[in-house]
Amino acid sequence: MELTTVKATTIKIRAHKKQQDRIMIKLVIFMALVILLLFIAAFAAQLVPYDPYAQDLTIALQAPSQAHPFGTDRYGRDMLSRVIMGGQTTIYSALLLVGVITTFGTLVGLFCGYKGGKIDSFIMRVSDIFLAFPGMVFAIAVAGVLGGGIINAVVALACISWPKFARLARGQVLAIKNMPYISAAKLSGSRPTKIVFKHILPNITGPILVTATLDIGTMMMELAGLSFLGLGAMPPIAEWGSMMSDGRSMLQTAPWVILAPGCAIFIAVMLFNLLGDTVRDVLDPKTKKEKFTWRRK
Amino acid sequence: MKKKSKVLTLVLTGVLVAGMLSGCGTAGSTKSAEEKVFNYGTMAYSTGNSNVGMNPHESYIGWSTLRYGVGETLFKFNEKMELEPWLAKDYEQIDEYTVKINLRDDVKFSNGKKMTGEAVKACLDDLIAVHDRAPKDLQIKSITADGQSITITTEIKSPSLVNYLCDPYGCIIDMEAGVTADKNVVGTGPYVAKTITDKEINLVANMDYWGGKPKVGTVNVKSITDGDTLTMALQSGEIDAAQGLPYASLELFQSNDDYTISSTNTSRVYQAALNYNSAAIKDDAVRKAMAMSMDKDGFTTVLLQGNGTPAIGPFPANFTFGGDAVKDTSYDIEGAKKVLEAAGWVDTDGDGIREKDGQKLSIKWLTYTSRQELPLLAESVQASYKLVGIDVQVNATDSYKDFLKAGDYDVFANAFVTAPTGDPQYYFTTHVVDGSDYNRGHYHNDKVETLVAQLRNEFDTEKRSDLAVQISQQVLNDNAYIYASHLKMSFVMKKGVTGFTAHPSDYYEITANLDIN
Repeated sequence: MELTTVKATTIKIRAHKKQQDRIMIKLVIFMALVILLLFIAAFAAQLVPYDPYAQDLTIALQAPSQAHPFGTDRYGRDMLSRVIMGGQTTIYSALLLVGVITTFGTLVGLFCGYKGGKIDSFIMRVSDIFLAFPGMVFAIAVAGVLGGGIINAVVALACISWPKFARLARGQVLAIKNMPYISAAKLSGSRPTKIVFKHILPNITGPILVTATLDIGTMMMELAGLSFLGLGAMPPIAEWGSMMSDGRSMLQTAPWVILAPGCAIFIAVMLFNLLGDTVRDVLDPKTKKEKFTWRRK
Repeated sequence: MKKKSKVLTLVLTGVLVAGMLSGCGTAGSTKSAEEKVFNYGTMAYSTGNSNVGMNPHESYIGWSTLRYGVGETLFKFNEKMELEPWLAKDYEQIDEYTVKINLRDDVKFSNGKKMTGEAVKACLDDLIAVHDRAPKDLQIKSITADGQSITITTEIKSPSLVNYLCDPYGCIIDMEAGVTADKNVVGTGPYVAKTITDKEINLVANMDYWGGKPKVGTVNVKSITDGDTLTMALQSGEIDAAQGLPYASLELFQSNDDYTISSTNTSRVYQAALNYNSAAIKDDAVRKAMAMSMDKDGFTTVLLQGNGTPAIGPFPANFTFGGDAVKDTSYDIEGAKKVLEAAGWVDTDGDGIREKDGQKLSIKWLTYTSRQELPLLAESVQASYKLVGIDVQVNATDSYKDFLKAGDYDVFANAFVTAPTGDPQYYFTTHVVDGSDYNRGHYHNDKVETLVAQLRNEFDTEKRSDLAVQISQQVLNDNAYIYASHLKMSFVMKKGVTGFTAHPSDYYEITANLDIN
């Protein structure tokens, strides 16, 4: 009887270990692919086969060929070069956006969670106001007021996205701030900034990092969406959303003009989302446990 | 039992075949005029175009009154943009300030009332009392009516008065019937508007139309402002004809035998006004280089896919004072580089953009997106100007009026119908003289001022034409405006649609000749 229990536990541990290994392999693969994507985007200017902004009307709207694997657009610009160059704009704008909202939202959340009181209530009500609007509609309104341009689109989306991180960070701080080790730090005379940044922040980075990684894909889509509506990148800047918008009327006659940036968005968003999922599996023991329990059932 | 089901099967098959045959029979039979319905999708009818409604005495609504066959003007333009009588029989110029117009005797409003001199006088009186542009254009001092004729006296010499009466705001409506809350009116045209919204107009035929019985009973004009939606609406059969299809979509219908296309060159020009208030633009060499670096042929043949003609001056070739009656600088990138170099614009820091006195040659190109051609033009010049060392910052925004007001632009590119009255005076008095409404470049030239003053007082058509050529040439010599292309307008329709043709004036669309089989 006892032997069976031991056997069962061993099988359980092995299965758990296998599961963990699989997650780690996934993490390495997706990490490598994302790094490759970031590398291509970072060195876009050196990697492009043609100048992505050079017009040559004599070769306008050419179907994919050996010389131009993704074809050319209506200005005769090489689509492959524009997709690579557009990656730089789209991916790094999304990363900048996620960076800004994560940092700002987390700082606000830390402050509110630790400080509490009226100021906490006030800031949280402000964040409620931002959350009450339908996100994209609000972003369109902000971008409309600010005018076109990729930076303005980033600002517009940052305006609507920071409360999510503020609320997340605040919730985590509230859960931690009454822990014995925080009380000990307080008793030993640590300053509030030291407590917040040395003792609280490192303990809440896990969920924030997971949310941030998962948000990269969403933000990329929203940025591309704003650009598609003409509120993001301005011509002739290569950006996937605006490239799709430019090619919209050619879907039936020259589909490669819209398919190339469309596929690029699809692949990039999928990669970042898969990476986000895997990071969550690695960093969030709760989800991992739940997943494991669910699998066993 | 088996026998019964066999009989039943036979009967059902018989009924089905009979149904199918009778169905074929109906399809083959000709519908009466009343039964025929024509669904028309257009990009030109929308709140943004300020033409929602049917009251010609408000804003640009007259365009809808005239286009969709509800109203008609005293005179109209033919294919060569020459005047022809319509509701009027003829006119005589009594003196330089007075015109007598004789009206047709057989014209009735759609409510059955006869169109008399008094009715026309009442309509024109209301027009100059309430409309924003008409009083300035027409300069009417008084109108008198006598039976089937009216006599108009003007404040100033007005050689182009009759041309101005062809403007859509000149549609004759029954003022006794008035204007309804949804801006509907009673006109003299072949159709009567039943319902009007900002998305759709439902028209029914005026079977007592003075010009003959309309051939189609119902016309639905649908506002479809998205090019792709319009394309797909035509492909799916939701609409029978479309106006304003994206150039990329036209290709789909050109090679398809199920559709026919009616195209015509119009006087709608895509032009760039160069702002003389800008330090860089004031430099003659910069303007010349800009004019030399615009690839008009590439723009029209590739980007507009042949749906336009390269423009030389403001007027297209179907006018005696248009087309190659004037000369412009030819496309010459190397020549433009030399012009800039000679003027001291040199690229000293090697970034590809020229500088002079520490000032970079960077221009702000303001335009808007509601005309699909304008952003294309902006991106096209952005590339070609870069070749000569001019940096172009494109600002394509539909709130362009704010930027115009603030003066925050070096170039303003827009689309404009240069000869809506078939006469050159309108363009010059609105674009090139001091204080004119659309002189966005703040252009001034004494010679142009004198010539336009002469044009305002000249009654002889040939001399007017000569003056127009001289003025256009001077504007081109100064490179105050760069004219990119004239629009070729196209209607795409299903094979059976007839009597629906594009007109160079862009005024007349739905007429009594419209038929669908």
